[in-house]
Amino acid sequence: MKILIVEDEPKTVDYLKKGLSEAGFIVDVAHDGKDGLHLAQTGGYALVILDIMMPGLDGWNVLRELRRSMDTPVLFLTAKDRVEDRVRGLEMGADDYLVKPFAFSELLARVRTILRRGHPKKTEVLRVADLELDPIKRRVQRGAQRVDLTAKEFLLLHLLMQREGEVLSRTFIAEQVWDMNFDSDTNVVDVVVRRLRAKVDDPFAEKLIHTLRGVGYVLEHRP
Amino acid sequence: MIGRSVSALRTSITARLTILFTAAVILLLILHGAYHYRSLTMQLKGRQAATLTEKLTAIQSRLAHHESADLIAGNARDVMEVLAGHSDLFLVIRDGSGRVLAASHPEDLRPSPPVTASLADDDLTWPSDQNVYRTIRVGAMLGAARAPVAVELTVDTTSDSQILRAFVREVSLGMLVGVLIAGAMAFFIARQGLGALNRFARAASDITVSRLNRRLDLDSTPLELRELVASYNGMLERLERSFRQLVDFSGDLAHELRTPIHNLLGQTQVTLSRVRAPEEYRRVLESNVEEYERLSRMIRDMLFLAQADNAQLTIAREKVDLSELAKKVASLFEAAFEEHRVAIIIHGHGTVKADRLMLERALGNLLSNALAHATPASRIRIALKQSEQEAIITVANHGDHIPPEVSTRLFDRFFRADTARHGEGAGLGLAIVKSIVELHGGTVAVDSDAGGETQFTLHIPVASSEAEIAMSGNAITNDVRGTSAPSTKQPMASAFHRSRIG
Repeated sequence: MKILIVEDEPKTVDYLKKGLSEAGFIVDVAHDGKDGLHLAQTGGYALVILDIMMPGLDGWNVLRELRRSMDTPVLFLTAKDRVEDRVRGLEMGADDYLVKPFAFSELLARVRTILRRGHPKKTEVLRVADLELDPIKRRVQRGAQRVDLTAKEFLLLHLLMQREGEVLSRTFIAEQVWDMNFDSDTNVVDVVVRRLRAKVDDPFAEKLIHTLRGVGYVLEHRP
Repeated sequence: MIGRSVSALRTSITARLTILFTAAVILLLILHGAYHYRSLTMQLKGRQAATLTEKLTAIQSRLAHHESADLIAGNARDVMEVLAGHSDLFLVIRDGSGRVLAASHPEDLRPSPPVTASLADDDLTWPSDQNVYRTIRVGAMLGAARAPVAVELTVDTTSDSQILRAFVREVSLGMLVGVLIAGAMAFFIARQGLGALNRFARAASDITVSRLNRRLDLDSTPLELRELVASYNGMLERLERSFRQLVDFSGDLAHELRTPIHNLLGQTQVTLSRVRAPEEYRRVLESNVEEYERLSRMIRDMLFLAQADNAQLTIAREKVDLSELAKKVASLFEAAFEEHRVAIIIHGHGTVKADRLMLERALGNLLSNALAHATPASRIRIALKQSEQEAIITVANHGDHIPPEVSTRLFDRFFRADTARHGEGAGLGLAIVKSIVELHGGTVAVDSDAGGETQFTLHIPVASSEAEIAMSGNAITNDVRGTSAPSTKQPMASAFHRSRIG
């Protein structure tokens, strides 16, 4: 899938391109609004990551021009943590936004969320290795053994399995599982992951939930 | 030039006082001089009149012994003797037809008053070339025949005029000197009187950022300036407090940033100093990420506080059921509570119009704090209360007793009660709680009893004012959530929540 990054800050461009490429996307870069708009209109991208603060044609204008003819999903990046900016961006037809500075894992999770829209598979039974989760019956099994989870543990496992192989940040997990949106001094997510592991992984030889120190958690089969 | 000095007069109190005082002295001196001039004039006139009357009486009585022929012949010596010793008196005696019978001086040596028809009493002051004369005319009877004649006695008043002129000259000179002295004195007095103001100004200009603790001395201040000085001191007091907070804050900030950045720098430099195994690089990067995250959270928190201070945050008020909110926030901590073997109890109800996300954050920070300081196997209690004016949220935990000198500082930025407890956040959590509650027009309090129960209490007005609610971003926010964030775009709506307070 092709993603366009419109951003004038070279270091940001560098790591975004590297990270997204390594995550399996084809990434093009435009360093200013004019090139960005042109590429976005002609390049057939699945998603545009658009910086708001750019010299010349800024993000707002690119978005406005782009929306005249196309509805390519747009995720905008803003340095201003102000309600008005966000409201404005979303009203102008952006699909999501991130406030700088953001964690890369955060961006990746959002990119995938936007690209996945339209393919909801909430009710599918999920399987990773010998772990099985049935969202309708709310049942979890590892091999032949039934695993009992609390409501939040179930939601967390569901999220991790839906996003199999994706590293999910603690903030993203807190937001998805608890619908809570603040950084807490207490690492509440760690505690719940620990308890989930105790039930899902600890009794078994193969571990499925992995910690990426400093980034977050990922659930995957590592043969 | 003139314009400037005029405006200086208008603005300088000293100049104005000097001028007004001097003008008052001038007026007084003029009145005084005029009064004396008048009384001197009257005195001189009175004395003159007395002399003339006396002479006339004498002349009248002597004339009774003479006939007109005597007079014409110049034999009335005794009459003329009356004038002896008075060089300024001139006498003319006329008969009924105005013919001169006798005179003290020949015609060309005596002043001739304007002729009047009457022989009756007459008192006339009249000017001649250089002199001013006064002529009094009375009737008299000559000899046995009692022939009527007119006695015309003229006095040269020039000497009196000279005295008066000299008087005016003297007084004017005196006045000039008086005005000069008065002006100088007025200036001096005004300066002296306004000295307190100057001292005030000097003392005020002495106060700089490094000497904000100085106060103006109230005891040595004149009564009239006390109120001014007192309110000035009050202003200094407030300034000093805010300034100290600011200084402390930037100091703390520098300190808080320095430590992790030095660690990052040192660790990275050591790692780069020689070639290492990939695993080692990974470990360093992982450790760095943790530090970066801490720094990033601290910066976000500080930004939030700064925006709250500048009232840049829009409060999106909506109806919030506090007991639902408390349950939701508590659910986030559920696992952490269980791990610490701490139980949570929520009781009571309440509803406020508030920013839901901010309240979640405030309560989350309080629970996080309660958990960090709770005795293992104790209970954390969230109590909700509602009155007509306000909702009260209390979060209580059992732990160490907090002495009052510590509890007053708990809401300060970067304050940590336990200095050893590093790495648990930057000490901004409670400051953020306070900011959020104050944004809602409420107050925070902390209370620690001897039994070791610590209570944090948030008082939140049910609604500070209808207008404010109407004006808040509530409508817009809901609109955005409702229209451009349909259910399929759920994560986006959540993202909207997150960054708004994150």
